[in-house]
Amino acid sequence: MRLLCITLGIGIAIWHLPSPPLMALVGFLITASVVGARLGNHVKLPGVIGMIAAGFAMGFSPLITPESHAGLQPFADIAMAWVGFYFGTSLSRPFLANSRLLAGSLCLYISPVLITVFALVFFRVPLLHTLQLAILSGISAPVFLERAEHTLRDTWPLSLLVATMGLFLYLLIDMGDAIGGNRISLDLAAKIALGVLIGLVGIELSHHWLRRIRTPTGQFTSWFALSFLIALASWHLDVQPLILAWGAGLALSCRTKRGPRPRARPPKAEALIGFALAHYVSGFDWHIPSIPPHFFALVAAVVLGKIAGGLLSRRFTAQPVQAWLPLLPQGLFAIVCFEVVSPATAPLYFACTGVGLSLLHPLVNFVVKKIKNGRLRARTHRTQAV
Amino acid sequence: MAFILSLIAGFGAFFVGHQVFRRTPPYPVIDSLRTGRAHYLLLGVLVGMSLPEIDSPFELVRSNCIGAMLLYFGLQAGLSTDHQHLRVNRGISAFYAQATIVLATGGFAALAFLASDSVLYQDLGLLQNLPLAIALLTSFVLTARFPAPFFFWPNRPLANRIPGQNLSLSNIAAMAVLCIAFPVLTEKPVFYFGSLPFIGVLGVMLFTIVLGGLGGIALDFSFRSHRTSGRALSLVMGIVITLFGLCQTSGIPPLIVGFFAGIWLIHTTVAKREIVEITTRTTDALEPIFFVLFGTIIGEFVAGPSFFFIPLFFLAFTMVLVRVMGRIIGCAISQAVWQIPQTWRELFAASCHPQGTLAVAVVAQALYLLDFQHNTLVAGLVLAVFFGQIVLIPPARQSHF
Repeated sequence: MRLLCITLGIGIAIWHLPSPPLMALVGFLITASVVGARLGNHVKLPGVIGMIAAGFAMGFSPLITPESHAGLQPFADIAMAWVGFYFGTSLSRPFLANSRLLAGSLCLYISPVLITVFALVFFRVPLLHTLQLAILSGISAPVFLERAEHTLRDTWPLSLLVATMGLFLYLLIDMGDAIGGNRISLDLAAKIALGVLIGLVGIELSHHWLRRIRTPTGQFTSWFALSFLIALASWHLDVQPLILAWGAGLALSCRTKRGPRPRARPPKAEALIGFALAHYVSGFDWHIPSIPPHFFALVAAVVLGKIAGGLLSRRFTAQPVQAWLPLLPQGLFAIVCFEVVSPATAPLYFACTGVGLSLLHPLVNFVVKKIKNGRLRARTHRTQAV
Repeated sequence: MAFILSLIAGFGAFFVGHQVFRRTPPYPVIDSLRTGRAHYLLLGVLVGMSLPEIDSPFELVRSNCIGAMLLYFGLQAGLSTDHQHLRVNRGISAFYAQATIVLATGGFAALAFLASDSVLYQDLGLLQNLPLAIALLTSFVLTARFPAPFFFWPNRPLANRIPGQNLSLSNIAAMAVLCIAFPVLTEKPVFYFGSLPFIGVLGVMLFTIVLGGLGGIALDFSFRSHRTSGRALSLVMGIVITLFGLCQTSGIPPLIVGFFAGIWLIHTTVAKREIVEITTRTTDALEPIFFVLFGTIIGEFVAGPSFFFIPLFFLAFTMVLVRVMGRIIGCAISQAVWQIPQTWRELFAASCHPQGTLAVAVVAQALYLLDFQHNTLVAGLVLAVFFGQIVLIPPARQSHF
């Protein structure tokens, strides 16, 4: 209650100003998202939902104008790069070498992709667009697994693998489209090659650097510096820092045999994750001109496909339903790519697959528990009768 | 490309240093520079020199990050004003001795800077507001690295701790000078918070204290809700950044507001130990970032056409000299009045006590408060901080009898 009062007080103070300074808005977004996460936890929802709710509220309030949102972009890029590093370094070689996990995540990923392709065939959507939407439909949100990751051992690696598959395929399709459409000139190809070379050298240097840094302070500073560099690179290359940092983090993680030590990974800085999410969500433009006819079919295909994929993956992972249920919602990775593919409907898509499915998750969990309890009770009755 | 090369050079220097220091422990002078984060500043200077022209997003992020960190360092200085800690853990004579050193150093430095007004205007690029510049320089001279450094010299016994060495009184006095001087000496007649005007010395002082107090209350509330978790830290960061934004809109120095917030927080909280632990850990992470970012500003100046090599080093040596002389006078007076037995070596060691992050923070604050034609004064003061860290007096050799 006290924290809510502080946040509201800060909001009123900023609202009172004729032109609120950028840093006041940055601080307010961080405070509001942290308080939102706490409120979300109070009602047994993932903290991320609270952060998103704070972002939505800020977006609808007069505090965030399109100009101020654009002004906050450099800070949000650094935060996004941090989030990308956090997820990129979380996936390591042992996860990729685990055939059980790989088969399970393949089922989880392929099912929504196939069902989405099948669903979109009935609407006259261009093939490339269909493929892009289908590829994105399989991605899950690792960041939404705050509560689940500690209780279920396999959910976290499954979500990471699923997101990685989706992002790799999406980048491949994008590259194929650029080559097929003759959008890559020789000059651009040389620049890309130079960029890749610099990136590889940078990753090698960063790997050696991070291996030698032992203190938590030094590691935090190093990760912050790397996030800053990624943001700097993204401004020059015009690439989303989340994707760039995720790729760099994945490369850094795969550079070692067992991945970076848990203490050497970037810490889960809630302030930065909250700020990145709240800023991204607050910039949504809700004036959607017209909802395309295939939109609801797409959402339905995502839900059905993920449920089918979850049931199928149970065969390989032998995990309970609760292991794949948290993988239903989509998060930052999916929406960042979806905004490139279909910018007009991105807010609605996120509201359905990101927020809606997350809100549905506790309800489904409750129903599953009830069914399980009912089955147990029935079995007990049967045993007693026998 | 130059930017990338400078980064690679920085990485290379780190690896070489790491390999060398793994085999042999660093010499105390080098260790002192390392403790003072000089290597991060050097990296920043290298990066700043190689940046051809600063991007607007980079400039935006840099200036705002430095400003928010200034508020944080002010908060840290405010947290060291714990009366109970000062009273219980240190002797009262040490307190008076430190007060004498502070008064003598401050007085001597103020007189020295007052006498060199033409140098400040003609050679060091100051454009206006000499009184505030003198106050800032006095505050700079008063600061000391806290807690006191403790270096191991090869083949020498560990130096005896000088009484009162661990008192943060110098830093508190430096901040007090800044807090009193700014409302009195600022040339801006009215400060606006939205449409609310604050006029005159009392108005500005009241506004600064209220802003700091509100920040302290907000921080206290956030620490009451979460004492040790990472969420407390997130909230603290959010509040500090918001507070800096509010300072920015009205033009109040964030260092002062942070200081007031820290004073309020440490005297009202029920979780003193947790707060000091969390903020100390955070300071360790923020200092390198601050030094690198501030180094880029100096690097830009060093690479620019208006870089004056000779005044820079002359200024740095003069600053060190003024500070050491002021402290020697203070130490001598305190030794005479409070009868604290000290050898000449201990006297010099206390006089050459190095400066730390707060000194560089005061310089950064001066960059935002004063108008400069070029950054010679700023670069010279930062150089003086690191020259001061080289002047370490080794303890006496062990007697064989």
